[in-house]
Amino acid sequence: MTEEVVERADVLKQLENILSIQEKISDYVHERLCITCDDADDESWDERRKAAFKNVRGLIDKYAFSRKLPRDDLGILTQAVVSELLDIQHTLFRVLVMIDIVRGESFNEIFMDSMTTISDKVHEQMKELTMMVRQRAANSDDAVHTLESIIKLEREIDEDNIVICRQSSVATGGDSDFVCYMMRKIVAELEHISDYAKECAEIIAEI
Amino acid sequence: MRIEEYEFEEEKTLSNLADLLVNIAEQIRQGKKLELPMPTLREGVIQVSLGEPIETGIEVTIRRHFIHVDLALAWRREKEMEFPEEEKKSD
Repeated sequence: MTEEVVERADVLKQLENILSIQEKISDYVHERLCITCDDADDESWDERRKAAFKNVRGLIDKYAFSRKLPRDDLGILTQAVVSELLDIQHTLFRVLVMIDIVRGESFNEIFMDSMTTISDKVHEQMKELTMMVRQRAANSDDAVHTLESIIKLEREIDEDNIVICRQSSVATGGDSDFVCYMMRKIVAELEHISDYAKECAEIIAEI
Repeated sequence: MRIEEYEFEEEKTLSNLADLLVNIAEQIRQGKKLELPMPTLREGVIQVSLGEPIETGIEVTIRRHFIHVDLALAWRREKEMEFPEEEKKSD
């Protein structure tokens, strides 16, 4: 066991490092899901796809600070945040893999609006979460508003998700093609990310 | 293609939730089929056949603003398939 122990400021810095990369990945995901509607620019996606996967790989080492966590409340709170962050990045990775599976085929237009709304809001949430960690590090009161905004986004995403459920239900009557199925899966995963992000924000508010 | 995975979230009042759980409990007691609200289907419900033994899991997370109770149930599906052979041919 190493004797070196990280403190609150360090912990928040490390969390910010992880979040800023996850925010980038969610941006890639959002852009890609948007592009799918109006003729995908496959070449530029190839590049960005590589960058997105590289970001995913790069994240693994960023959790190494966990070896230096203090054995107190801060350590417990940080473990809880880290656990949520791992869920977020794993889910983002899963979405990236599903985007690969879809191979640039476009989704049914009926669902596009709801889906891009959701991916946009998830990206927004990730941006706010990154900002919130910074605000907490600076002990700024603004963090409270950011938390509220993240919770609000989560609720909106829940509602959007219900809308998209109904839309696909009406459009497909329970039967659906491969691409529609993948689209539902992607939306479901994005909705999970919004839950994790909210959980994460609530814990960060206590650090 | 038939989707074989469903997930549904909905906000409920305590009383509505109690109705749902009582309804589920009664169906489990009868031990035949479980009908669940699932508006991703045209019918708005999904029917699954029950069976024993049932693996159960209860997970509770308590945070300042939210309490999450995740209840997980799992049992082996009957051998008879609900969507038999013709499904494979059409794929």
